[in-house]
Amino acid sequence: MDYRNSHIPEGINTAPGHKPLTEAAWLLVGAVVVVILVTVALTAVTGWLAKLVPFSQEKHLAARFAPVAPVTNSSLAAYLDTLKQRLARQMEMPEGMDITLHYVDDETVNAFATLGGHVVLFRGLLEKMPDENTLAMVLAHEMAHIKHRDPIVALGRGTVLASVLASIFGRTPAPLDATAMLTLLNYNRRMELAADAAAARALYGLYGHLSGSQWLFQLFEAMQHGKKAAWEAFFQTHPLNAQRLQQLRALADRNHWPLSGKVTPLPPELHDWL
Amino acid sequence: MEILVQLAILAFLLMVGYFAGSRRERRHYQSIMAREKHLNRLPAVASRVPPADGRYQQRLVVGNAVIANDYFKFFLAGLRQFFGGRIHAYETLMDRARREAVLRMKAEAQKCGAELIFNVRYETANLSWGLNNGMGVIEVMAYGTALIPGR
Repeated sequence: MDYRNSHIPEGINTAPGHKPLTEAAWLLVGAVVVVILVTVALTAVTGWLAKLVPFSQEKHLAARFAPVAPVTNSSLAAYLDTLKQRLARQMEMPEGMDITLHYVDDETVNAFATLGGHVVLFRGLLEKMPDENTLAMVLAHEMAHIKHRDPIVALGRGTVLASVLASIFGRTPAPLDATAMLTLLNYNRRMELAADAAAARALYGLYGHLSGSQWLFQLFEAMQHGKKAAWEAFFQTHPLNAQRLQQLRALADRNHWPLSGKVTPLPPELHDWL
Repeated sequence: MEILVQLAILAFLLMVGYFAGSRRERRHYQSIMAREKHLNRLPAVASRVPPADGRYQQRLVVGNAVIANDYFKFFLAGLRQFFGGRIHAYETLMDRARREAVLRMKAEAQKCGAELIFNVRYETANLSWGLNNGMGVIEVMAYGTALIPGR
């Protein structure tokens, strides 16, 4: 018997013309598209579902994270509380949706609303307030976030994003700690604009004009220009601030709300309370 | 920021995997083809029936090859598993391992002065089975019975 091995041509078991880089690029593009679609869909569904969580449940959830202490100075607490209640009446806050104010003795120029109806004001911001109208605008804006259920929606969306990132990069998300809960809630453009509109309405109801509403964005803009890199300012804050100002003016124009008027001064003792 | 660092690390690993992996593969194929041309005159057949004529000494010959995956192939195959289809990157890996194993078996047989290897069989194993990273190390073993003339 004659045994022989003939020469086997190449390319029977492999693909000789295969371009691995091209294949990788196409697969990567496909995967990114799929991930984006899934993320968008999940985010939308989560945002919608989050609003169905009762506010009492949200408060219960927030209690675990124990935000900063309430306002300690009793005069300041009383003053802020009165302002809050006047605004709450204007804004027609739903039954049981009570706001808890907090004051942080820190030079950060900031205020934020977070889970469970907590609004945190920083000394840095209060020191910069020129009048009560501006303070009312800030407070009303944060209260509007809570009225619109923005914190829990942002929490839901943030969790979705964190999970997607974790599943891509192969790490389990870190347990949500108190600081992350308080500061990492990102409100999107639409939420900010809606909160502005509600705050402007409350401001007009309280004072009869919108003085104080625009000063705020000018302050933000001046601060952010100094602090952030140019590209960052361009992509994030600048268009948003401009858009917010524009919306306010359009709102005032449409409703015939005066943009300026007689401002109410802050209590002269405020700086001693801080 | 942290994500950017991770992406940079990933890109670096992919680059190393791609360049090192494809360079090795190219050289390996060159070597395989050259040795195959040389060893083609020693037939290795799957037939289980030994030639009836002549007096042959029989000896078991074994060739064994272990080849590691590279990071780029691993990444590519992972993406491919998502969408389905041929994993070309792994086909060459298996092809190389199989041919290398046969060549080593033939080299052993040639050393003993064999004229023919019959009853050739293959075994494969995935050495990384159960490891977390699943990077992939494959083993192909070829074995057969070498027929050496004269007793």
